[in-house]
Amino acid sequence: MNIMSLLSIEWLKLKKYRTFWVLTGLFAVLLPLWNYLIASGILKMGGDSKKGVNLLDTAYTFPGIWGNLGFWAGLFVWFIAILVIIITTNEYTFRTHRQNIIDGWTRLQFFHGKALFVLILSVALSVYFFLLGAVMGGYYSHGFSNIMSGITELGYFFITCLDYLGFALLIAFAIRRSGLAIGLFLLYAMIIENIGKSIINSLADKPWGNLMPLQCSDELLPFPLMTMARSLMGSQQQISVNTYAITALCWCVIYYLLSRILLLRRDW
Amino acid sequence: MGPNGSGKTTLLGILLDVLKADGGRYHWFDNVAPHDARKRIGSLLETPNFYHYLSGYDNLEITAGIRNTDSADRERVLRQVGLWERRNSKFQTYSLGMKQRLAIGAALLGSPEVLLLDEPTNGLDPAGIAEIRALIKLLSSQGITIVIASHLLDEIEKVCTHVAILKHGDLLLHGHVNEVLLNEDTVEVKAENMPLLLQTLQQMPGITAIKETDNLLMLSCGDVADTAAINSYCASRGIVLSHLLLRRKSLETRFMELTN
Repeated sequence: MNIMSLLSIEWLKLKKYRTFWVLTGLFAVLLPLWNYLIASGILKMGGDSKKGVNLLDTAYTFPGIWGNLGFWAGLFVWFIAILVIIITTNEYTFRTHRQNIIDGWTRLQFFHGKALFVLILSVALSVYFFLLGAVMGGYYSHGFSNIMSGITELGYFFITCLDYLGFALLIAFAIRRSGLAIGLFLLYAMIIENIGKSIINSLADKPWGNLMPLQCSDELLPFPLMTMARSLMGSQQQISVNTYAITALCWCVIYYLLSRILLLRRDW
Repeated sequence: MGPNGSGKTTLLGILLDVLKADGGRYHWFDNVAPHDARKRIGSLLETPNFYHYLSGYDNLEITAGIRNTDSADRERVLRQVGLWERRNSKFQTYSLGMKQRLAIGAALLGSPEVLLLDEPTNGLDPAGIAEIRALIKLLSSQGITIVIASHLLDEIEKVCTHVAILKHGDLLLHGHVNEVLLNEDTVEVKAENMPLLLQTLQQMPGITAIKETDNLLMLSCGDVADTAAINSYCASRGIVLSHLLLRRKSLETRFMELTN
């Protein structure tokens, strides 16, 4: 069974699923709104509403917009990761993972259907990211002459999507139950990984802890003023951005292999 | 066929590759790759598994896609299982019987060569049970091989030609349904003068054993009991029967004997 046929069946499962449309729709609406409010100085961090220093970067012209928008989009991808968990654990809740096999898919085809979905979703999110960045950047820069500078951030965003969604898919396959999987995903992403990262970083000469599964893509799209802050504060010796990118892609390969082994070995 | 927990569903699960066997082998259709073979087998395993948020019609589109058959066949099968009018309702709004019908409909998509049905009448009302049995008979007359797992003896007797009996995962017995579930007929008789009746019937050829119970005589007659012959035999000897009843040995009794 070819790739297109796998994808078309995944699409049949999704196209009338309201949760899918609600979450992707909210992503599509809230991301530009959020960034528009920051650019307008309405949404602030630090200081009160009228005075004080705003820690948020309000520069939405090319090329700065790519990194700025990239950070926030990377944060919003969490909700898409939760969507991936819901869609995947649904198969176990409805026991359709069994039915798909009974109807003639191999376990590998079932797995590849979901893996391809994550890949296509990452591509779609990146396309949306590019369009949003182009429109906003074009608006604030009064033109598109500089659009391609800083465009590597688009690649970083794609890697971030793949990293987060691939990780979410692995968690969903491993846990199978929706609530528990979402809980563990959030617990890991927000707390466990930070604990691990901090311990490693406090012991090592370089911040090797930043290479942990989700942290390495967080490092690709850092908090907009972080780069400046780091150079001012003279923090630990840095790891190059290419190392982060390659590490994140390696993690994606590991998610793929682990999920694959898990699905082929375990009782169905 | 077998009692609960005898391994019927487990066996079908192994044949459909959703369970891994500890040992043994199987093959379908002259060694076709198992997943390709499954596309040619219509299956209903345990419970109907569908996407709750999709309609019956949309669910079957997914089934057809995976089985690689034309989704235009959906109308035929939905009409066949009586769900055409409700095709656009979401699966989660279906009753248990409707879910079961949808699962049977899904199994029929693309006219498979073999049907594997696990408790196909589970959850259906009496009319639904009769319909599904009629459908099974119709399909089998069209040359489709149908494998049914069931603990409903009545069902097996009514629709099956061959039967295999499982117990604790072991094959106890298999063969033609009439041989395995051999019917031994008994005839109950009663008359005014019971001692005379007993005496008379003891001399009648074809009766293999007589048992006296509760004012009745139970006659064992081998394979085929001829109640008319018994009646005329007694009448010709001046005995008027006040009670004459043919009793097929219940399948249940036979089943208990086999599996206990």
